[in-house]
Parts: sequence; structure tokens; C-alpha cells
Amino acid sequence: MSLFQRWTAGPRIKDARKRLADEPSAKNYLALALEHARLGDMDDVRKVCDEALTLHPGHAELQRLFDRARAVQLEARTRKLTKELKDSPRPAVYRDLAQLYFDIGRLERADEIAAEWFNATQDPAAQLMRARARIQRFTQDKRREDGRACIEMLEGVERSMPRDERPLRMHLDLLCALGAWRDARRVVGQLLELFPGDSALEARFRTYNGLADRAPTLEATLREVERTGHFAAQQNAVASGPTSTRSIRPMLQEIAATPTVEAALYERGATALVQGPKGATAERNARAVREIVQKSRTTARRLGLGAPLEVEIEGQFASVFIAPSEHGSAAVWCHQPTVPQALRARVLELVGASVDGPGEEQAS
Amino acid sequence: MNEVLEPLLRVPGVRLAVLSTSDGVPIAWRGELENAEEQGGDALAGLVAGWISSLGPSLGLVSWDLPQRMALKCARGTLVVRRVPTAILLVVLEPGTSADETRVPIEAALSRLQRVARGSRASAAAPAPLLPARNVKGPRAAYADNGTPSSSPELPG
Repeated sequence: MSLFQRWTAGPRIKDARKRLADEPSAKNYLALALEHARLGDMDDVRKVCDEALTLHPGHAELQRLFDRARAVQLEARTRKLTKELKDSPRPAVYRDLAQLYFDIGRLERADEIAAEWFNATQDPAAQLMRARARIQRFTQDKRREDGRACIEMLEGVERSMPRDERPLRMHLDLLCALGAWRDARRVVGQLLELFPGDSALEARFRTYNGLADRAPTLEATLREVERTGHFAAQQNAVASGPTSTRSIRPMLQEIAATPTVEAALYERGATALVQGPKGATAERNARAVREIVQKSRTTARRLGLGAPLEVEIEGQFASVFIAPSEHGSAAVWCHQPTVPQALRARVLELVGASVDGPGEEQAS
Repeated sequence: MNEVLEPLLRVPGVRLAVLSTSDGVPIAWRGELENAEEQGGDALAGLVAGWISSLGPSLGLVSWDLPQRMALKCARGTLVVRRVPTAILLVVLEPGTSADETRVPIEAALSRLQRVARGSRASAAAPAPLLPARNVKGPRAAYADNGTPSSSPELPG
């Protein structure tokens, strides 16, 4: 940004601030944030958007600008750290860059940087970072091979950091999520050697001791997680049945009542609730959505993108928005070129609500 | 095809852009993709073409044509696919980047693609430049590089 452009932008920012002081509307906040964005002052964009979002929570455009400013800043920081690593590789830069990649969800890159860090310095902290990245990836993808690699990685870190509790805690959390109580008991035992007399750990040891007899093997739990797509704790929550007072059908009816909506549906397993079309047409809609979700899941996994969260399809037939989740999928078919943001939010809300269980609704 | 894909990669959050034929044969790609079982734009183009064609029977259940635009938002990134009759343009985005933000840049890339295709068709259809007509008698004008006529010496007949 040239000095001249800054100079000419000054009065515009001043005007935008004045308008904002007169009327703190989302539009005026947005105008000020855009002026800062034109100058490339991402810090100021974030500050303005942050302040605006406290006054106007959920404003889509402000949120989008805030996210964009954050992404631009992270991108700039990544470039800076990558350059610094090239010029002067040292543990602090490796750690910062790996952490940054971890934070923005580029887990494979975080793993690679941590591997480079370990090769360069043999620092066990690098292995710990690799284990974190792999656990995160396993949590997202739930692939058996990833889970096994996590466990092996953590066992290696524990051997290289015998007096450090962090790898043991991570290992314990992972085993508890899997429901591998026998192995969890062993890890709690190792933690108790580090912290003898810790009452919380002793309580956990007793609990896992009671569960260990009937617990499946680690390999069996990994297989089960891959098969179902749920961790043991989540499966218990799903199996516990009607725990939510919120129900799916009224929300579906509300979505289907929107004039541009042709169909709204929610599916879990082999059952589906459809609002809009009737009879065989409803059945065909449900089947189409189920198949699209299945195929999209396979493609996303093969592309290494993790679990699918949203699928948008637009064509001659108008537009469809599907929100797949571990517990079920919600979809809306809309007679518009794109599904409006408000409808998408409601479909996502539907999936979020269904995590607690579909309540007393019976899928038909 | 650089001029088609390069501007897309300058959009913040775009990690990879691939242009392929409608059956998944890659034409060009820029950027890189992490995490994939099969790395590279060629494998990606094949996978996405397979995905699109596999959706055909499912969409056929409700009498829908193959879609023109698809976006698959996942935990570790977003795949945006724009299909035109002869080509597929696909873009992989960083996590957190909205697919809607790439709508305009992708359409612009498609316009550039059509321009490039039109240009190549026009140059293929244009007649071959005439060879110097050494046997033609009489004065005539030769055109300089800047397009202005310049006098030309009489060639021997």
C-alpha cells in the first residue's frame, strides 16, 4: 500500500468512523472494516469485526470478513515462518510453524514440519507434536490405520520422555475415547507412578479396573470406531435414546414451509423423515440423499479432506444443501439457484439438534 | 492454460486448481494437495470425475441432471467443482475458506477458458497466411509488422 493510497484513504476512514459513531449499525461497521481491508490493515479489520459481532452476533457478512482477515493474517504468518525456517532453521521456528499448521487444520503439513524438526534436532517435543497432529487426524477420519499409528507414536514418545505426563495424558484420552479400558488402566498405572497418591487418578484406576474385564481389545475398538464412525462415548450417547426435548419433525416442517423449498428431509441409518414430497417420491428423495452422502464420504476420504460437513449441489433442478453428520444427515431442496444462507443455517441447526437424539420422533 | 488457473491460485485460501476434461483427463493443474491418498492433480481429476459420474444414478432417482456446481466442505478443506459441457474446473480450498467466496473467481476462470478456447479455434479456422506471390505482376503493398502498408519493390515476374 503506497503512501499516497494511505493518504487518500485517511478521510474515507474518518468519514466511516463518524457514520459509525452516529449509528452503530452492521452496515456502518462493515463499511469501516472494508476501508481497513482496502488498506491491508487486517488487525484493524479484525478489531472492527470483533466489536461489531458482539453487537450484531451472527451477521453473516461481518463473520465472513472476520474469518477472511484471520485467514489472510495466518497465511502471512505461515509465509514468514516458512521463510525464517529456510534462512535459519531452529527449534522455536519449527515449533511455531508446526503449531500454526495444527491450528489452521493443516494436520499433514504440521506432521511433516514436526518430522523435519525431529530429524534436525532429535527433540522429543517434535514427536509429541506429531502425535497430536495424528490424533487430530484420527479423530476427524476415524480410520483404523491412523488410530494404530497414533498409539505407536505415543508409545514411542512415552519411551523417549519417561518423566513427562503429556504423552501419557494424550494416550489416556485417546484410549478412553476408544473404550479400550484395559489399556487405559495400564496408562493410568503409569501416571500413578509419576504422581503417587493422586486421588483423581486413583479413582480413574478403580473405574477402569471394573470395566477392564468386559472391555474389548484395542484392535477391536479401533475396528468398531472405523465401522460405526463414532467413538465409544458418542455411541453411548446415541444409544441412550430420547434425551432431547427438541424434536426433528417441527423443525423440518418449518423449513419445508419456506415458499422456495421443495423438500426437507432428515435421515438416520435406514430411516428418514421427509417433509414436502409424499409416498414414492419422498422415498426416492431420501434414497438419493443417502447415496450422495455415502459417495461424498468416500470421495472426501480418498482426497484426504476428512469427514464431510456440507454438500452443495446446484444444477438445472435448482439447488440442494446436505449437512451430513456422524449421527444423521439433513437436507433441503430449494427452487433457487443457490440455497440461501438462512436455510443452510437452519439445516445445520437441525443436524446440531439431532446430535442429542431425535427425541420421541419416529422416522417414517 | 496458465492464464486460466494462475489467477485462481492468487485467491486467498485456494490450495489447488485443476482443469480436466469431463471424463477426468487432466489438462492442467496448479498448486498442491496435502493428505490425499493419491497426490497430484491428475489423480484428483480422476477421483472427482468418478465422484460426479457416481452421483448420476443417485440424482437420476429424482430426475435431476448432473449438477453444474458442487461444493464438498470437509473437516480439512473444501472441494469446489464447476462443470461445463466439455470440462471440469475443480478447486481445493483451505479449511475455513467459504466455497461462496470462490464463486466469482471460478466463473472468471471459466470465462478465461472459453476465451482461450475461442482463440485457439479461431486461429485453427483462419486461412494459412499467403506466401509471397513472386509471380504476381504489378505493384502491391506489403504490410509491415505494425499493420501499415509500406511500399514494396517490384518483384521480378
